[in-house]
Order: sequence, then structure tokens, then C-alpha cells
Amino acid sequence: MNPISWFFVGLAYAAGAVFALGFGWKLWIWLRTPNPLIIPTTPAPTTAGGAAARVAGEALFFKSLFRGNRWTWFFGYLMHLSIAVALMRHAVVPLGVPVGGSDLDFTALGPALNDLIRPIWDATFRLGPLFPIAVIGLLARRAWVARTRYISYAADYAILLLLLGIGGSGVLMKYVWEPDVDAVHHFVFGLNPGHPFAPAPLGDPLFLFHFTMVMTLMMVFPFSKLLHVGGIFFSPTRNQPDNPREVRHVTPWASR
Amino acid sequence: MADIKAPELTGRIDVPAVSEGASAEIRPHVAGEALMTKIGFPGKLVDDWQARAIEKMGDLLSKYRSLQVFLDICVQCGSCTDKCHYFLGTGDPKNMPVARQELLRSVYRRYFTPGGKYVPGWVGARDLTEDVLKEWFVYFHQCSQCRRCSVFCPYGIDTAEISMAAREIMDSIGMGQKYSNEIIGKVHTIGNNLGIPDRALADTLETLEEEAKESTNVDVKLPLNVKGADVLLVTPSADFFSEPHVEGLVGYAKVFHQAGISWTLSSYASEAANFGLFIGNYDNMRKIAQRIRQAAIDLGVKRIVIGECGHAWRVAYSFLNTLAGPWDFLDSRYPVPQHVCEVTYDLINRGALKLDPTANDQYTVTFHDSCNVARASRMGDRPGGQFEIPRGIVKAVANKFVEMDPETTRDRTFCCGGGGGLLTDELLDLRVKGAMPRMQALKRVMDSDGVNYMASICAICKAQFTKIMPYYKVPRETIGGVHQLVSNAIVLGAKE
Repeated sequence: MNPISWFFVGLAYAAGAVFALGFGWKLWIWLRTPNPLIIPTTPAPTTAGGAAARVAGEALFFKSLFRGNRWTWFFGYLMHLSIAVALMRHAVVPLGVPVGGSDLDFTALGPALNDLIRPIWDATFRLGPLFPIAVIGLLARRAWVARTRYISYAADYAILLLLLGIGGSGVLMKYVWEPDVDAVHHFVFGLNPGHPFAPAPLGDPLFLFHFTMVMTLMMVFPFSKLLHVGGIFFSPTRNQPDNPREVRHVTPWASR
Repeated sequence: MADIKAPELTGRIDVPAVSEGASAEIRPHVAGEALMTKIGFPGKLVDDWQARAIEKMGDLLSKYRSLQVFLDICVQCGSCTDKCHYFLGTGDPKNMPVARQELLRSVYRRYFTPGGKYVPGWVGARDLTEDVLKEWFVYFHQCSQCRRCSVFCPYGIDTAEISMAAREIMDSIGMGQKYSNEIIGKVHTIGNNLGIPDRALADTLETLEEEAKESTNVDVKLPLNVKGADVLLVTPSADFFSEPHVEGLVGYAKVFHQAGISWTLSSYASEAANFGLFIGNYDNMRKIAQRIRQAAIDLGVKRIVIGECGHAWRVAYSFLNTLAGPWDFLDSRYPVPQHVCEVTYDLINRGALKLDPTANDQYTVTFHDSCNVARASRMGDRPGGQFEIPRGIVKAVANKFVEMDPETTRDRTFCCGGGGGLLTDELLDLRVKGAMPRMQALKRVMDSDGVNYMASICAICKAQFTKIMPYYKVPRETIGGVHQLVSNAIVLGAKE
């Protein structure tokens, strides 16, 4: 292992630590901070289960954004969907595909489920280019519309550019300059605790760029608006049931 | 009328071009020393105001999850940017909800986040300077806390929570708003926003009884401080004196009369409004709410009913149980509190009221959903009852009912432009402009369907529209209450 490989190993561990500790710390702050009053935006579900379904509707379908702005919803939804698909496709190794193997095997689920899942899973393989397209759509809207341009900081553009770098390099690796997949798998697998470290694939600068961008995103995450990923589940206007007449809500600091 | 130009009524709600600083000069009066100290704040801006403001921000961050989460997670997506009536009316970009939040969020970043501490320029972090404080005072008093932005936010970020926190911080360093703080002081000492003493209130109610007797030949009572009555009615004090509010008060009285419900007003809790909400101050809000509990105990009532008032209904419906409960000494068969519309609607459904809707045939009625009722409360058992129940009453007491553009009603309703503690003369320019979206939607149904009565269940909406409609060359009589229509249609006398 040469020093450059050690650098990328160190980067991965640093990014993992910053992400986990930073995000964990923020989750803890949100958890410990009380809601002194019942403030759901109404009409709201009257039960906890209903409120959970409401939050799920926001997290899975971006329902309020859909009502608010169709273009932002379209590009935003496409981007998040692409990220979800990309994360799943990247997870094939931890999901059980042996290093050097190429894809998940669904046949163990039985022929019926396999016939259902297989084509969908294969189709997602072709969706990669949608990710950079969605990010470009969001960038264009942010810069183009006077109102969003007014509210945008360097950081807002920077995060989109970071995502564009990640998505763009990912697509290039898939369609244009394919890296040594074996070497990449060995390197990434070697990052798991308990496995021997493997050298970074130094012959694949595009991969190293992609990897570095992802690690940067992880380190930026706990200190940026990316926190919305967790925060959406903590928003009292969405996750509180509308039942203040039926249930007396009391918070220690407010009931002195 | 003051020299204020209302936007042209076209029937359309156009999103204006961004016009930096368009409403930067509209600001409320600062509260004087006596008003501030009376409700527990420093009399004037304290010397170390900057440090104290940051400290207060930290205090609020630890007490309100809403504030902490909302300041952390906005992604500046822009969904809210064209949703605020004050932005639509003024074009000032700082009236876009996200930009308004940024006034506080930028300071939060600077003092509470690593990004803001080390790379402030990158992440939009600002020192809390005198200019920033001045900007806070201007733009956090150009938010009526109507929650419309929150409806369209992917995370439900509610600018009302942010502006309440900002006002609380400003109050805590001695820079309060005169209008709201003066009113809060009056409630604490006299019991109502208008500062009406017991004697004057009793006289007014007597006069109203005499007038009701003259017009109906029936002894409709407006009882005050009657011990042992079943219902304590707490209503906004504007209902006692202002037009058209008072017509609604007579409407409530007729409903109780006809239904045979024994009821009373209280001079101690002669105010449903609670401006403690507007300034985001928990202690003042609770102190005001506690007056209702005290009155209920003193008078030995069994039920509490709230009159037509938007934010009052929010505080009553959503917070009263928390602020002044538990209500185990009241009759458990009724929700605590009840909205007067819930009471009337229930009576109508049970056939307990005789109604003659032709009495309102001179009106073609539309219904203006008041923001706090629509987006911060409920009526009845089911979500959305706050829309159906008042409409149900209107349709029962008037023959001609027309809806406005659905983009402007129910949870997408536009604020009247005067809510959230902004119903004061020095903000009239803003109030006129902020009413623009609602006025455009109203104009459309006036032209298409001949609407000449916009029913509302909020004292602030009624006062605001009465004041600003003439600027749009719309007769001020166009605004009225729901129970004003009930009052017209109800047939008094022995039950059949």
C-alpha cells in the first residue's frame, strides 16, 4: 500500500466519522428539544398513525412541494429518485453479491417475485443519466428564476455542483471510461472494518474523483441543508397529530 | 383616507417582479418604556443587546423544536417564494417567506453553526449588527403568521414560528412593537384588548338587548357575569363595539336564546384574542389564557364557547388545554373549548333552530377562510371541519352562496393582510397591499356572480376589510360575520 492509497483510506474513515458523529449529534439535539405546543399545519390527521402516514407522504412523494411548485417537484423528485436508485445499485456488494460478481440474484425469491423484480431492477440500471439531468434542471431553475436566485448562496450552488460531479463522473464511468471494477470492489470492500485494506485504484482518476466528491458530500452533510434528510421526520407541523382538545400536551419547561 | 394606492383590481393574482427594498420603510411604532416593563420586558434597548439577543436565541432554540429544526433544514428550494400575500402585494423579496426566515437564519448560522463561524460568506451567515436588528423589526412585522408558506413547504417550515421567535428576541432586548404590547398590557389589567371597563361593557350589553328587543320584539339577553350559567362565551372584544362585529354578537345571543342554552359573558375574561401568540411570548400567552380558566371557575360554568376570531380560535383550540387545562371540572360531554360555529351548526343539524334564509336574499355570499382557523385549528370531529362547518351554516341561512377560486380558499386561503399583530394604522400601506390576493379573488366572484357579502369568522379579518376595502373601491359593508347572517335568518319565538 502506497501513501496515496492510505490517503484515500483515511479520507473514507474521516468522512464516515464526520458524517456519523455530526449527523448523530444533530439528531440528538432535535430529539432532546421539546415541542411546547401542538402546531400541525391543518387540516391534519387526528391520530399518531395518520400523522406518520402524512410524514411518509412527504418523504416518499414530496406532497407539499408538489402543491407548491411543479417544476421544482419534478426535478427534485427525479434527483432524489436517482440518488435512491444509485444508492441501491451501489449497495449490491453489501447486499450479498460476491466481489467480482456483477449483480443481485433474485431467483431465491421464487419465480413469481423474480419475474416481477428482475425487469424493474434491470431497468433502473439505465436510469443513471437522469441524475445529472435532474441536477442541471435544479441548477438552471435556481439561477434562472429571479426569486430563487435572490435566495441562493454560494453553498446552494456548491452542493448542486458537488452532486453534478458525483452523478456526472458516475455516468461517465458507466458509459465511457469504465474503471477496473475488480480493483474498485477490492478497494471499497477493504474499507469495511475487519477486512484487509486494499490499494486504491490509482489508475482510475475518474473513480478517485467520484469517490472524493462523495466523501466530501458526507463531510458537508451534518453542517449543511442536507440535514433535511433527517429533519423532515422531526418537523412538528407535519408529524404532530391534531388532537389538542382530546389529549393534554404538557412539556416540562412550559408547565412551571 | 390616507394617501395610499391600492393595487389595481384585475381579478388575477400575478406574481410580481422582485423589487428590492419595496417595503423597507414600512415599520410599526416601537413600544415605549411603560408598555414594555408592564408586560415583563426591558423598557428600552439594553446596552448589551447583541449578546443578550444571541443568548435569547440559544434559549429559544433549546425550548422549541420547531425553531431548531426549521432553522437547520431549509434547502432554499423556493416553493414558498410566491406564496406570501405581502410579497405578492409589495414585490419586496424580503417578504418571500424563505428570505424572511433568512433574516434570522443567517444570524443563527453565524453564532450556532460551524459553517457560519468559519466560512460565513459561503453559507450566508451574518453578524447581528444594528442594521440587521432594524431589518428584523421591519420584516418580522410584515409577517401576519398566517402559515400559508408552511402548507407548500416540503418540510412544513412555518415562518410564523420564526417570526414569533424573532419578536420574542426583540422584546427580550427592549425593542418591542407598540400595538401588540399595548394590547397585551390592557388584557392583563382590564381583561380585554380594547380596554373596556366592566361598567362600560355592562352598559353596552344593555343597549344591545334594548336594540334587539326593538327589532325583534323578543327578550334576547346578553348576560354578563352570571354565576351558574351553563356556557361561558369568550369572544373578541371587538364584538362589543366594532361594526360589523357586533351584529355577530347579537347573532350568538339569538342562537343561545332560541336553543334555550343558559349562557354568560365574563368581564374578567372579556377577550378571546390572545396577542401573546403574536409576540411569541409563552408567559404572556399563558397568563392571558389563564383568565379564561379563572372566569370559568368563578362563574361555575359547564362549557366554554369561543366567538368568531381566527387566532383566538387557534389559541383556544390548539393551546388552551396546554396553557390553562386540565378542564376536568367542565361537562365532559362537550369538547373544551367549542367554537360558536360548532354550537350553531350542531343546533341547525338537530333542527333546534328555525331559519328563514330568504332574510338574506339581498346577499350573494362567499366565505373567506381565516388563516388561523383554516391552517391552525379544526372544528368538529374530522380534519377539514373548519371549512365545512362555517360553510354549512352559511348555506343554511342564505340561499345564494358562491365559492372563490379554490387556489385561495381552505388551507390555501390568503390572509386578510391585517393578522399577526399588524392591524395598526402605521402599517396601513402594508395592510392594503397585503390584502391584494384576497381582494382579487373576491373581485372575480363579485364580477362573475354578483357576490356582495364576504362572510368571515375572524374579528381581525372583519376590522381589516372594513378598513381597506374602500381603498379598492369595494363597499366596506361587503365584509361581515357568519353569525351576522345567522342573526338575520333566525326566527325567534316559541318552538313549533
